[in-house]
Amino acid sequence: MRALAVVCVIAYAVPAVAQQADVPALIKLIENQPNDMDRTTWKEKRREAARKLGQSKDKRATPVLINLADTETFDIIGDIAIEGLGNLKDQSAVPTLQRIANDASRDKSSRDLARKALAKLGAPETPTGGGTPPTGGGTTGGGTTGKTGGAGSGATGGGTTGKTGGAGSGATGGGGTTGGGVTTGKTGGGATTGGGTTGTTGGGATGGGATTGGGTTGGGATTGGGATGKTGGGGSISTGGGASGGGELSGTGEGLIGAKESSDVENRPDFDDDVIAAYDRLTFAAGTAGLKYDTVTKEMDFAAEARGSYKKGIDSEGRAWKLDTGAELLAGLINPEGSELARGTLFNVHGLGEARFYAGNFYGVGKAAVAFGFQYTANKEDDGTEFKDTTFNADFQVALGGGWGRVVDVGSAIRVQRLASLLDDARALGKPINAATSKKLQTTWWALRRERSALRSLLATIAILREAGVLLGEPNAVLTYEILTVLRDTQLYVRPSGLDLQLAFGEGFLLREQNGGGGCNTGGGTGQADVTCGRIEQLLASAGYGAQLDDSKMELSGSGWGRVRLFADDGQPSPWALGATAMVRRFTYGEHGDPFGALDLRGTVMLSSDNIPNSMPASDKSLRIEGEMGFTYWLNQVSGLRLSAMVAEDSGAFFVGARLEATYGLLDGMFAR
Amino acid sequence: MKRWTCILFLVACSAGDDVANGARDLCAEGGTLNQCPPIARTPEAACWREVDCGAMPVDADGHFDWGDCVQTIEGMREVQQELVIACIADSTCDQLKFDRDRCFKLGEF
Repeated sequence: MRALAVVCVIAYAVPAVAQQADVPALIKLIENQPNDMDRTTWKEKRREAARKLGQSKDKRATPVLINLADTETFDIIGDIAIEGLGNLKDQSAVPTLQRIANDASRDKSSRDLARKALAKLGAPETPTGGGTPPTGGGTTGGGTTGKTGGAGSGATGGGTTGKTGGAGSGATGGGGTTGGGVTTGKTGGGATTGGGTTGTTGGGATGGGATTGGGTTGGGATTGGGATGKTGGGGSISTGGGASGGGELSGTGEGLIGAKESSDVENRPDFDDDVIAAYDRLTFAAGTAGLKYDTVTKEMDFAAEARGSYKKGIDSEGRAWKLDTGAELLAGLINPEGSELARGTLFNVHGLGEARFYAGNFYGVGKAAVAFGFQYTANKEDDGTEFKDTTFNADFQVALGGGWGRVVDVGSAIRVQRLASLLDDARALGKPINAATSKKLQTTWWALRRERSALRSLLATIAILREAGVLLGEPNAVLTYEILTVLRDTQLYVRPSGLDLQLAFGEGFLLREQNGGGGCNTGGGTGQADVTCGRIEQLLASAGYGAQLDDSKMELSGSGWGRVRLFADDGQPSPWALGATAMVRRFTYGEHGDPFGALDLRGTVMLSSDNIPNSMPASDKSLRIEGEMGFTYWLNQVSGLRLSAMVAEDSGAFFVGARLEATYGLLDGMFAR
Repeated sequence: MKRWTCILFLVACSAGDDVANGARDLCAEGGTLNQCPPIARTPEAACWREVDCGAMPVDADGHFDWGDCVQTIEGMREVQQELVIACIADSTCDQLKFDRDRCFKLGEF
């Protein structure tokens, strides 16, 4: 019996001892990240510590939880602290909880928790006093909100937030997250120097008022705290609160971005809910354009080339379609001194459409292709001899087949993931980005892709994230920059994902005419090879693969193809070819998400039948094995430098080379669910 | 997209007496259903297109092959180079095979 009593005493005493010992440790854990703990783990431990403090019944936890409740608007720990303040039964938390409960800039869940906590403390949801010198400031703190009150001071600081907030003071200060103080929390709306002393967006230099506003002399003292301030916020240094105080520098106490931008952008594409991915690519290039006259050789040269393509595709659950059209126009004139003259024109236009109908992962596919081409060249020799050559070609083709799977471009979806990731790292992620928000973000970027400036895209992105409750509070300068960097990341275009296997049978008619008559070239003459024309049947196989790995910073992709002509007439060849390419790309980023470049490694194998004339002896098959390694350095969104080296072996010939390229282009529109 | 390319070095050497005609690309046959991808605007890439289309061998003694193609284009003046390369890049394989010399005629003088 005696032994049992001893055990009971120990069992009772241990929790009490542990509780007392834990509070300082828990506070320390909340305020400082241990060296041996990574940030993600610390964030979890910190939340756990705040939860324990809220249940500790130890009033030493109150200032810490007040601080968390006031400043941690980017992390769930803020809500944990608010809830904990209600459990601690410490009346000094009332002003803070009232401020939060009435702060429209705070998340609704935070405001609801603050109201519940106030109910537990038996306090009203709205403050009743404060602001004026006799009651505001001083050690009793308090302060009020907006028009009716100025900032207070005291242990827990007074003042308020946002538009209606004034400067505060005290340990946790007023001003809170958006008003008189904003970004700096302790040093902003409050701390010991008063509301918004250093806050760049709230309070501001003239708001809150350094040492006179809300600061150590008390938000509610004679000069502090915006007692009459229309928009709250400390006030100027000399006059304290007032109309010009507080948020003047930042307008209404908003953050870097403000709240004026709209999340609704015109011309957003309207995709059905079953749309998995879509793209819209327009490329136009004036390749060569010039008119030159050499006064020494008396030669005039003219060259002009323009080409463009338009590609559009939509992948839905049950069907998919894509359109790929393009045109090339080339005109040239070489006219040296004398009667020599060369001129030529080339015009090609082509279109390819594809429709798929899915049953699970399997699909049936139909394709149609149409093309027209015209070529003209003329040469005039010194002696007046003139050669003219024209060709016309037209293709009409269809194909039917089936396949399995699909490959879609998920670059835009990765961009959304990157946004969520950086918000989480900055403790600004209120909740995960859901499908509806992701869709709205991507279609907004799609609609704004032609804009020269990324400003509207940035403003709309933040507005959408804020509206969805994803972005907590105002993004500071670093976070704003990082969001912009993600929006402008050039390494998120054309990022394939998935597996696609396809087999199709093609039927078509190829018209090939030369000099207005002629037919197919049978490959007998110099500089001429076999050209298949007339009716043609072929079997086509293709495969595609793409995977985004390691937080989408590494990409594996590959493709394969095969073709063979079927049912060729007697004497006609049945050429065939197989090919496969595999590629790995590693994307690199700077500290704040700046895309630096990409390292890529590519291997290609091609095997084909030959049948080319003029080779002695003619070979049956040709094999090429090729490897290439390169690094692309991005100059801006769609422009970059690329240095690459290649090695290839093609049917006995060996090639090595290196290349330096510079590229620029237009942006793509993309969507992926 | 526009692309400028500068070749730092490129060497081709034949492996003995073997005759190589070159591997063919998907787009070498079959019309528009088998479209060619865009190529870099360089003499080397343009000549690879000729080989891939089957318009010329990759290496054939006594015949116009890849090496001759590159040398011919590089021997032209700038505007002629641009014209010939653009012509090859914009042509279909059948257009190139129909008359391999058509594009080169633009740079004859």
